[in-house]
Amino acid sequence: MTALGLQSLQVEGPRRPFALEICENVTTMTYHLAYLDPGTGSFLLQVAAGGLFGGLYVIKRFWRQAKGAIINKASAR
Amino acid sequence: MNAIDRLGASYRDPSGFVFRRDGELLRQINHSYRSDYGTLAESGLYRSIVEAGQLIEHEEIDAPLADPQTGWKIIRPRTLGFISYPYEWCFSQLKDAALTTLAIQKQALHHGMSLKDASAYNIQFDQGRPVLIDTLSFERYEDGQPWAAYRQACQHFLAPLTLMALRDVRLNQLLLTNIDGIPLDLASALLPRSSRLRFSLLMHIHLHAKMQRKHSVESQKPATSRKLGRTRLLGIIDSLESAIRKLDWQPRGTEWSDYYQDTNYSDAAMDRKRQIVSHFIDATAPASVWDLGANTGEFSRLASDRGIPTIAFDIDPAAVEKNYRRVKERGEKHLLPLLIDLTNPSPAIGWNNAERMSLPERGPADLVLALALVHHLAISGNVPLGHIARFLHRLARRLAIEFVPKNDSQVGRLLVVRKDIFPDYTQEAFEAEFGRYFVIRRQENVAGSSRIMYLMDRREGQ
Repeated sequence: MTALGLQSLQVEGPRRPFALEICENVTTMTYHLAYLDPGTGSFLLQVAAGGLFGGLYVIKRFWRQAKGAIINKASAR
Repeated sequence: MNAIDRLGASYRDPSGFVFRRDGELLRQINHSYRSDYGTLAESGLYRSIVEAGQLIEHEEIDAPLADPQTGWKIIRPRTLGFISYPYEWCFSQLKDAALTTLAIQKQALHHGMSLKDASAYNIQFDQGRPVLIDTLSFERYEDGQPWAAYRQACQHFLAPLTLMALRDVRLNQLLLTNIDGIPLDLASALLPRSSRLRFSLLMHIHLHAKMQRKHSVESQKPATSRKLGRTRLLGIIDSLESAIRKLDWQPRGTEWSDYYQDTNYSDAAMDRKRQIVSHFIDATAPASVWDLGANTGEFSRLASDRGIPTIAFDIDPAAVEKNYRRVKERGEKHLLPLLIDLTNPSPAIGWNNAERMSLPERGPADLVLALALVHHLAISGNVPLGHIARFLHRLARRLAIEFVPKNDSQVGRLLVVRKDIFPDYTQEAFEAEFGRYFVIRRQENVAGSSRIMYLMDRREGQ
């Protein structure tokens, strides 16, 4: 991991089943004092599905960085 | 006392507002936004996105506040020549506007800020590229906060783009009747079932619509505890971006996109027409040109290639798409293709009918080109010549217009399957009707055809 420069990817990923996330977050969500009405459903979806999207994002970044590192190594040879 | 004219669209955000004073466009920043405005500069975000051409630049000026009760500072943004709206954009314009918004949001998060809105109306096209015009769209990012503008980003960008790509490109017109973007339940109902097979669309549109419906009447403010981490937020934005990148629409098979291949103009007549139009442009040296019925912008470029800010309007989404792609390929800075149905031009919409301007309110242009247009309006659209002249009088200080007589085969084509109920469609009637609103300065026959080109000046006081 370190050799590939992936320290920055030590971030939170999916932790609970998706259905459970939804149930939990319906009752425990942070509201922001936005001037736009962000919509309750939209807020809930972000919090509930954020873990999934975050996890995919981490995997995607890891894959890109790993691919880049392999290509760099190969071209250095 | 200087008269202050507050813009009709600038009332939602308590951070400030845009107004005109003595014709100059200014923005008041309110005390409530002072801290976020400071962060915008100190974090380096302002400089970063202005240098990337993603945000319109401004200067701080020492000027009286428009509203001293709330005001803190006045800034003068660089002004744009023409304001366009998402329902006037082709597919790729809306897509580029969406990707620019998401790129700005990623930059903002990188600098510890976040977009507090993601309105397509905050994006304008400047020198061929989308740019954010609302300097007050940023707020300090607080770790754990979901994105307040997520719903707006889905309604203003993802939903219309998905409908255009997967159902019908003309569905962008739903933005006209839904000023805050296409409701997700409507988008979900209109999209093909197969769209559910794409994970990002399933989540951001279909499930999002269900969640909105389920929680639409909740009024209780839930207690705080669970938060949305920064990586999760970046994951949502990345997913939106990737969903939008994958959407595509190819311009083919619509009304006018192959017009020039299909016309009966000889090469010599086309060359002659180009010469006449070029001559009219040079003779009038306009500061702005609107080309009505521009197709893919063949004649618009006679003006824009001279460095004149030019808008190329057409009714055909494929023609506008092709034109915009050419603008991007050639890196053209002075041409803006837009979608307009001249028989039903964009109206004034929104609160008090003053948020989004009608087409005539955004004029007049110094020079309007109306080439091979009048016969379509008069014969296909049944619009009397006098009505066309009156409408163009609202749009143009000067008018370069082509009259296509009935013996032209293009007019013949329009009359093939319908009764000729246009006895007044003659050159004499054309000159008489237009003569009421314009002074005819020049008249040139297009050699090799029966068409006539006119250069006219608007009569004032009509």
